[in-house]
Amino acid sequence: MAKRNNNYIPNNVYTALLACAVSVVFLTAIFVTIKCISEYGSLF
Amino acid sequence: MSTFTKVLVVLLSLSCIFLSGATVSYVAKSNDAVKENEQLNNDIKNIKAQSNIDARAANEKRIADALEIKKLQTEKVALENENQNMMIDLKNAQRAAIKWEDRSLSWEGVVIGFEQTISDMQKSLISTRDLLAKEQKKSIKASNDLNDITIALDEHIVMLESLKAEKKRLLEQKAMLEKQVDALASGKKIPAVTPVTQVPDMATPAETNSYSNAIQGLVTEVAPNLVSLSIGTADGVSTGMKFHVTRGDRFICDLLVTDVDVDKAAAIIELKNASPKIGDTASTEL
Repeated sequence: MAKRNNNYIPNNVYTALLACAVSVVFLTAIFVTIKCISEYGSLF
Repeated sequence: MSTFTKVLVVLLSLSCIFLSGATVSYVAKSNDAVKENEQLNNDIKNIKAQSNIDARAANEKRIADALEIKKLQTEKVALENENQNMMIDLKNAQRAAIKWEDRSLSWEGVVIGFEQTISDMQKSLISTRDLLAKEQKKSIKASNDLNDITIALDEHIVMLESLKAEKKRLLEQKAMLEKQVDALASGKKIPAVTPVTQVPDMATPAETNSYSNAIQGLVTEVAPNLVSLSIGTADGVSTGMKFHVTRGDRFICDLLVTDVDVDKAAAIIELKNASPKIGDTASTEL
């Protein structure tokens, strides 16, 4: 498949994208957690 | 890795990034909801307290308004009663005004009638005065004529008396002459004979109209330089005539007539010897 088309995207890019997405979600969760605790005193 | 898996990975990653960004932005922008809730509760309490205060004030105001309305209604009733009384008084006053207008109209008619009567009476009085003046002049003229006739009659009586005396004397003289004739016939001495009856002086005509020019009157009013007399045009007085005022045998003053009425005259004082008084005699001849 890689031999038939020279303009392909390597698989590491998708992995990096997933890693970026996961990190973003994680950072968002941390931010929301800090914000809730600091302003309301609890997560819920 | 299949293409479908790659597409899913890309879509999932992008959606995760998008949702994370939206969440972060929402959480970052959101304020403290608890504080806002407490603030809202406080605001609600304040609003309720204010509304209670306003309700109490409105209630008190409503009670005061009700009292005011009752008071105004009482005043309204009193004013209506007063208005009715005033309407009754107005009607009575209008009736009285109509009554008095009728009376004034009737009195006006009576006054007009009186004025006409007075004017007629004044005209009648003036004409009566004229007639009286004419009659007085006629009376004076008749009186003068009567005086003339009386004087003439007196003269005639005197003449008749003298003629009677002359007749008697002539009869006596005749008797004496008859006695003398008898004595001559008998040869006796003839006595001197004088008639008993004396020949009276012949009557002379009296001075005619000696009184007609003498007009006498009395002083009725005395002013410092003016005198009123009790005689007027009816007695023959005219403006410019001069009167002599006497009191007994005493000469008082002279008067010059300046104004004459029917039965009175006014004169100014001239040749003043003494002050004239009411009752003094004024005459055109002394």
